[in-house]
Amino acid sequence: MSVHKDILNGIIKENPTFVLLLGMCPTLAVTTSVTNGIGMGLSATMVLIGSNVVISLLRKFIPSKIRIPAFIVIIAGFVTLIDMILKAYFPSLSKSLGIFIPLIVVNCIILARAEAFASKNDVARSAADGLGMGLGFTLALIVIASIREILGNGTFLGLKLFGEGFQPAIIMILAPGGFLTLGTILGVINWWSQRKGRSET
Amino acid sequence: MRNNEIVRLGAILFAITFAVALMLALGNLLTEDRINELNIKTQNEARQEVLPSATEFEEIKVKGLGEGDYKTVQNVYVGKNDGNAVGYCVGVAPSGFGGPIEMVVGIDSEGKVTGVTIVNSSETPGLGSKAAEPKFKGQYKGKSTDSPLKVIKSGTPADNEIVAISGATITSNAVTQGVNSAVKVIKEKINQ
Repeated sequence: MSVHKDILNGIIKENPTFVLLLGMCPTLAVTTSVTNGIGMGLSATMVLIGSNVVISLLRKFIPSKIRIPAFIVIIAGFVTLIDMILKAYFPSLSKSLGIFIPLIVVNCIILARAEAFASKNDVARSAADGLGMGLGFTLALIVIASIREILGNGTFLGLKLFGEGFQPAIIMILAPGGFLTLGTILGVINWWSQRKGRSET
Repeated sequence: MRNNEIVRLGAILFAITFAVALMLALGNLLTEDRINELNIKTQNEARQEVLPSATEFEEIKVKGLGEGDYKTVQNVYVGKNDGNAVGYCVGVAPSGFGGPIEMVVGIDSEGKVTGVTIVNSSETPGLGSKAAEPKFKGQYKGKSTDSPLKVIKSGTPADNEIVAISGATITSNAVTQGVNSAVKVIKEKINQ
């Protein structure tokens, strides 16, 4: 598989949110607005690329017996670094993402890619996988957040879309709206992929 | 042999954690000052917003903050213009629906509320978060502090009444309580 296939793999075929169903907690929690979705997605992408590269570099040095604590330390290090950078240079984004940035540490996408991909492949491919998975996650968050923000708040990226007469369905930006949107999208994707006769493993 | 293995694994894990800790220390060194600066700037801007007539702010030490009736009061600043006190800014953090609502209340020297601003809160987006919008928080501006403010659900508010955000009564009550506590501190501790 070539590098660009690795990138596409994360975005479409093995989209972490819609296909692998990883990282559901941040997906449901931060998708109340598109800005939050993009912020969370890009921060996670940065952590994914960073941790994938470092873990791939160290894959011969880290004994398999202690690989999980080693991975977690590296991932936590990257997350904390990104948290500090966001706090210093993007304070408003850092404020609205709040607790979810530190929680990237336990986002299973990152550990899953470290374990399943970066610890077995070379640096270039691991970086590509991190980028692909990260972009796939970001894209999924943007799709869910767009639906929720438009229906639930009548805005897109904070801009008002409708006139005063539009009464937003507040439930969509509350927790139930997250489940409703995610469930509907997953249903549509499954229906579509079955119709195409493409059975994914 | 078994012991050697444990020592080797421990040493490798130590090396990794040490390197990560070093990287974090470097990151902290580079961002710490800027983060502190930003925090101070946000608070100053909040004070400036609720008490526009003041040009400089100075913290005053008040006894008994954080206890009893003043449980939610965090700090009191006096706002000055050319060295004359023009009012006070009180930092309060009443409990809302999603945790404490950090806010700043401005009160001028005649005892009128000059403004309220919310610095930090985790209220429900779309409901309680509307407390930060001018439509709600603007209601406090110009209110007299002679009697405590009350929250009403609908209708035309009287002088000491605030119309709640629909669907977010707890938040509306909390913000109003915060303003009342701020007024109380100024009345009982400063202008005795």
